[in-house]
Amino acid sequence: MTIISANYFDGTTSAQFEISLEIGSQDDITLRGENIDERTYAFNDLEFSPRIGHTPRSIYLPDGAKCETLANDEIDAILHRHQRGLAHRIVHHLESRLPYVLIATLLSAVFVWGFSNFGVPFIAKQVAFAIPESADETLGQYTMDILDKIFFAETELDQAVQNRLRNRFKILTSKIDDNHNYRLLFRNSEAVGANAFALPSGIIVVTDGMVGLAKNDEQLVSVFAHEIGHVKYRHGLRTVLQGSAIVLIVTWVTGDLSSTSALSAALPVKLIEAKYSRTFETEADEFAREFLTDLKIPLYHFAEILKALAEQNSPDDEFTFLSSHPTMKQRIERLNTTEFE
Amino acid sequence: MVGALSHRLSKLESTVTNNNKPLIFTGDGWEYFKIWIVNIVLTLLTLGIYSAWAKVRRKRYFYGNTRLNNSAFEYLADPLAILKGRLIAFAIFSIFVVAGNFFPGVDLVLWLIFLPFLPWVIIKALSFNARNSAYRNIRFNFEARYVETLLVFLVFPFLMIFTFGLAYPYVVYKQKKFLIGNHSYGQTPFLFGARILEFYKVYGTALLGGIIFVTALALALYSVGISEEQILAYPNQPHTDQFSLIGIAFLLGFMTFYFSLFAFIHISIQNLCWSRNTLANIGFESRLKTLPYLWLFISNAIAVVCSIGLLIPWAQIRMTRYRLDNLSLELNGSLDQFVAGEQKKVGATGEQVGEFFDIDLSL
Repeated sequence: MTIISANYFDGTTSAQFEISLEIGSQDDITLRGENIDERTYAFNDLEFSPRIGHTPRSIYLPDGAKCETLANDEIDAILHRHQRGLAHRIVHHLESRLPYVLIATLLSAVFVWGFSNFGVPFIAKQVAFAIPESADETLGQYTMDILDKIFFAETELDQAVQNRLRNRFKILTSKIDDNHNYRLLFRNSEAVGANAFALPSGIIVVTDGMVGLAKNDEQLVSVFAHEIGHVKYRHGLRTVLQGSAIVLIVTWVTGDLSSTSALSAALPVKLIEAKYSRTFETEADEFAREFLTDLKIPLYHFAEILKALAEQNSPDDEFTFLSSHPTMKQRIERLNTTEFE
Repeated sequence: MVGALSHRLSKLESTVTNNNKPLIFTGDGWEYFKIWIVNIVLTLLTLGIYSAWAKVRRKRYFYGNTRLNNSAFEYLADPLAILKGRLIAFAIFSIFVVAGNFFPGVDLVLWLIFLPFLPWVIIKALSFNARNSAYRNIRFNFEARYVETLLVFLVFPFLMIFTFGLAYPYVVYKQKKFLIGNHSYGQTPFLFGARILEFYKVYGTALLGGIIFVTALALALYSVGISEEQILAYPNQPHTDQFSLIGIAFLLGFMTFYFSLFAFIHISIQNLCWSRNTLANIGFESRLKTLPYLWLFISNAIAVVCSIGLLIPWAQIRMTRYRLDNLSLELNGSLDQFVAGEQKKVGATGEQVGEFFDIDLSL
């Protein structure tokens, strides 16, 4: 027989009565106190609040009254005897043991790392390839109009040069068997400089600066191949899918972890996104490498143009952690090693 | 643990005067860390399902450790109701994110559609939280009308644009009055007695402090012989040691000042709201101070960043302890006479929508 002290609240007023609870042999509980009627409840008529740290425990009586007690261990003993509240007991068990807590910390870290590095990209890839290529047309439909308004002017390239490069591009894309409508556009821009990029719909933009930087057409063909790789492997759609997934996951998980941690999740999200886009650059490089090899175009052309780009750009490129491209050095090295294989 | 608790409880006994009852917070950083981390790992392993239970355990921990006159507060929400609300809120949020990513501009339209529902979300969120909060087996309650909510949270904030911010203290006043005055404990309503002028006084003092600080800074810089042009030209000549030192000092001073102003406004409003708030014959007193609050805020931020988030639980416990330990009740009578209100169930959807869209409803 155990006696514990408690406070009694009848549920209709806020009056507080100091009472004692006597736990009987059948785990029936008897309430005794100066200002309340003595009564006994069978164990099965009672509800118990879960144990959370050392916070007080509530025993809910069938008539809406409750008892509040600090005697957590005694309550746990009764619940244990009756195999009640098992799930909560397991959680409390985890919460009160250091090794479990350490394992939990490591497990969370590994899970988050694994899921964001492999899970999300994998799922996004499957989903992207399940969506027909025609969907890419709508994605960023107006992007080109906006870019034209903000950054780009008409190209100043010779019509003959344009035609020559368009022909090379056409030969290239005729070898790709997917439903993208590949188009090559020339644009001029002081701000953008020497650059090339691809839109999900199959538009590939090359700046006059890029054409000027290239020493021969093979170098530009290498650039085309890289950009075609972005389109073919649906990097635009996958970026959107992965970005949405990460935002949704972070919100779903941190929805409960207070806004402080949501805020501190912003930086990791940026890092993850930067990592994703580096992966895509590598994938596009891989594609270009295979494609160019098939076409019997030596890979040193690609390496040369990357080198020329690297020299022209700021040394920022060496900062791999946040930059979206893998460092130029890594990319060029990768091309060179394949060549000697 | 028990030692720490009894120590804090004895502190409670010793500070009690006849009619002044302090709130005592008995939460412990390490104990909460364990609850927090287990919450995270179970949430991750169950793909977010557990987050509803995690929320209830977290709130139960904070409520259960808030003690007043020998009994604790209690959070009574049903995790299943929260899970249901979360799923609905998540579906809505997904539509926003996906639409925003695929069709830029569409999310703006969605927001316009969502806006009329916002007052409903706010009411339901506050109501759900209040009805699931109890002390001495009596639940709190929150009731407000749609139109009032719409005015306070959507219409009045527009006033600020047309008055160049002059209406800001008024809007804050209206929102606090809405938040506090619509709450009740059982059948007894909270009465929010603060006056608009008092809010203007807080913001006015802050503004005055700002003006004095900026003037003093300008004079100080002038007296060391640095002109405006030199400050503006500073980024172009970062290699001069003298300038970079002054630049750093300038930046640090400015940040300290900015945060102190923020802390001052925050704690003044908090203190004001509590001290003008009454519940039948009970008064409240909040004694937060700018510098200790500022120190807590800055040291918490540093601790959280340096520990890659692992000290978040410790920081939360510390902040809650400071707030609650400086809050007390002034009793003119007893705590025994409050009567329970009728029991109504409120769904958790509104509350969860509010949480997902980061609608801050803290008092």
